[in-house]
Amino acid sequence: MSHVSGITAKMKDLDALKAACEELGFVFNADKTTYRWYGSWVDDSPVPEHLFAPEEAARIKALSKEERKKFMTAFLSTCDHSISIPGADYEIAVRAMEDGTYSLGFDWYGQPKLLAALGGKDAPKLVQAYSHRKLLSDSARYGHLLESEQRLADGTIKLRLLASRY
Amino acid sequence: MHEILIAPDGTVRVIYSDALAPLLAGLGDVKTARASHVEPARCWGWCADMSPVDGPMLGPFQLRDDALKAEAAWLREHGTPIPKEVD
Repeated sequence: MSHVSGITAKMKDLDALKAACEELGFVFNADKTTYRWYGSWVDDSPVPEHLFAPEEAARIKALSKEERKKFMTAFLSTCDHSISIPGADYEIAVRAMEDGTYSLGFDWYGQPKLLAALGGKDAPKLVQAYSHRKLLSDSARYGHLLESEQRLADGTIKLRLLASRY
Repeated sequence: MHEILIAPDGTVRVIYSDALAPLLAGLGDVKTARASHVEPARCWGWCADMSPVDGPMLGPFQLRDDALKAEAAWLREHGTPIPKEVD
């Protein structure tokens, strides 16, 4: 009668994100409010809706092309923190969202080193490293004991925990 | 002992346990679903039906507890697959 849980990480813990960057050899630039990217929104791709509340995304999509280019360029030019990847030209913007999560944004066009380091447009390597670090730090906080940690052939990280009763 | 799997795409899979619930909830959105049905076998003993994760029928086992252990072992050996209900 087992049940299986699937969890999709939401980045809420800046310390875990910093630790994830360290694990991957990235540099977390705390409070750095600018980052390297193309520098202007040319409006040749969909508005990244995950960066906005639904109503705001709808408002932005309804703007004229020129208004949207101006707005998006201004919006995308700032961040709350940034992440640098050695060897990559562009950087990652980390923005605090209204729901308490952090979003990751980066300009991947023509950036093979950035994409390779992140594992793709959804940054799966960074998300995996975040989940890894968040589970390790919170396990310690809850008193769970890490018995072993193993990286499997397919890249999956397996943690074996002895759970405490708290 | 609990096994937590963190896939290359960042998603996490685990056999549900009350003891881990706060840890998992702190990570993100948790979706939990039944991975098996442990029921009395038709003629004798107990079986573990793993069809919710596209698995086989295990057993029969003399004891229900043995069926429960077998189903948990099968899930661990097969990478803790996510039940179809959650997909």
